[in-house]
Amino acid sequence: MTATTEGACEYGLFPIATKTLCDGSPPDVEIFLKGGKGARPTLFHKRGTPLDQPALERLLDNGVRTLYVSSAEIDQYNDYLLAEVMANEDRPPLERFELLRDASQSVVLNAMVSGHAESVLQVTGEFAERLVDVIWDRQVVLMDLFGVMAHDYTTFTHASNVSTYCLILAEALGIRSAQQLVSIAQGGLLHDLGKRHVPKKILNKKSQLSETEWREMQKHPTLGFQELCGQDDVDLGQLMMVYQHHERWDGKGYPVGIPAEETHLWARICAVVDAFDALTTDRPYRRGYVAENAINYLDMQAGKSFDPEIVRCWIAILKENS
Amino acid sequence: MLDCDSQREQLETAIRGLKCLLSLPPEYTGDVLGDVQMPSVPGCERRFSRIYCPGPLVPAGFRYQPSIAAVAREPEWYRVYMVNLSRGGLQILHHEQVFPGEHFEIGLLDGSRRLCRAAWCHYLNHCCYRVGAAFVKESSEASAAD
Repeated sequence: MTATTEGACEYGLFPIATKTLCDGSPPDVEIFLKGGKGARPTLFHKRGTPLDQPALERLLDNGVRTLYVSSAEIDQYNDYLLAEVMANEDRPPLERFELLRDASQSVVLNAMVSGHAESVLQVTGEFAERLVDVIWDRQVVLMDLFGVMAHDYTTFTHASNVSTYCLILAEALGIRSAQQLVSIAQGGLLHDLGKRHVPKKILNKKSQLSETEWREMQKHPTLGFQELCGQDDVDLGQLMMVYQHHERWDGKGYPVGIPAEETHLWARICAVVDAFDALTTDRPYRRGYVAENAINYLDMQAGKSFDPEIVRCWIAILKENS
Repeated sequence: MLDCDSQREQLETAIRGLKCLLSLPPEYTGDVLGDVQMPSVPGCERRFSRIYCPGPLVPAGFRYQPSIAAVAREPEWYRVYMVNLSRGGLQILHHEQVFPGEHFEIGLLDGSRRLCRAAWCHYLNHCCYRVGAAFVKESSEASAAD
């Protein structure tokens, strides 16, 4: 969680993507703008009134990508998002994808804060279905899609990027079942869920982690697994994406140190795109790699950290669309 | 009435007759647990001192209890080997991966049976995993991994 959203969460508010409100028919909820440091959030939009579109445009021009709704009204907002925004076939697919990407980041953040695994699964499942709708059958040209992926790393941009990449790669590897693709997209959104139990000072640390901090960080696959495994709606592949995405092809990963052939295919897919996204997005301590350098790294690690077949497939997709 | 020794012998014979798919790593050759003080592993949070089981491997019965809907398990008994035991939990060698939070029943040589919840699992080879688990208190759903 970033420092800015953290303050708003103290007031029982959840972040939403500003762009999702640009449709002219706002959700019937109160919308807040975050205050300055230490200040209370201010009311931006009153329930039942028309949304001030020029003011919204100004916010976007000024780089305000996040607004807030009350935790009591988050369900209404999510309903609005799914029914009014995502299902709008008039929007070009790429625009729908961008909205979905922004919205899914909010969804993951809300899920991280809310703490209810059941609702996390429900909401991420709905978004995964929309993602498959938009990307499947190449409604979106991949080259355009890569151009609009978020490059500023946060846990939330990362989750939505990984979800999208997992879906593209899984399909390229021959997974055709819509149900499985939805599961994979959802697994991508959930893969780092366990990080919500890792102390924020470790997650946000800009310098190298100490050995103790690293051990804490390494718990996140297990913590995520434990959180989800009691849910009836989660399948084995998704659980393995959460639990095994840091396992390595050579068996030197964690938490189990299990080698390639014992790791679930979906987890191997997730491992490759997780690393790719981590490399290509900006971090607090370094700029993201350009795609070519990330490709070289993946290629070098094929057969060591990653399944070489999957790396080959991912590199082929990237090169075709660069 | 059987004395304790013969009871134990009978139990051991029964446990040794259980299906066992373990393939022990080289350090366990001769069915002997060689490394008494095995190094600590990430995820192991037991609080009480452990009694290690050096010398001949100590067998135990192992049976999964339904606990994770997405993970299908056969409800049959297997033979596993104990690495160590403490007041709150144990470590075993098992032939397959056990997931954190999975429940299983363990049958010990003294005839007792304990419900356990896996806390961590580490790969040793494709048919041998070292599993750390906490005993589950009967009156509560789960106990801390101590």
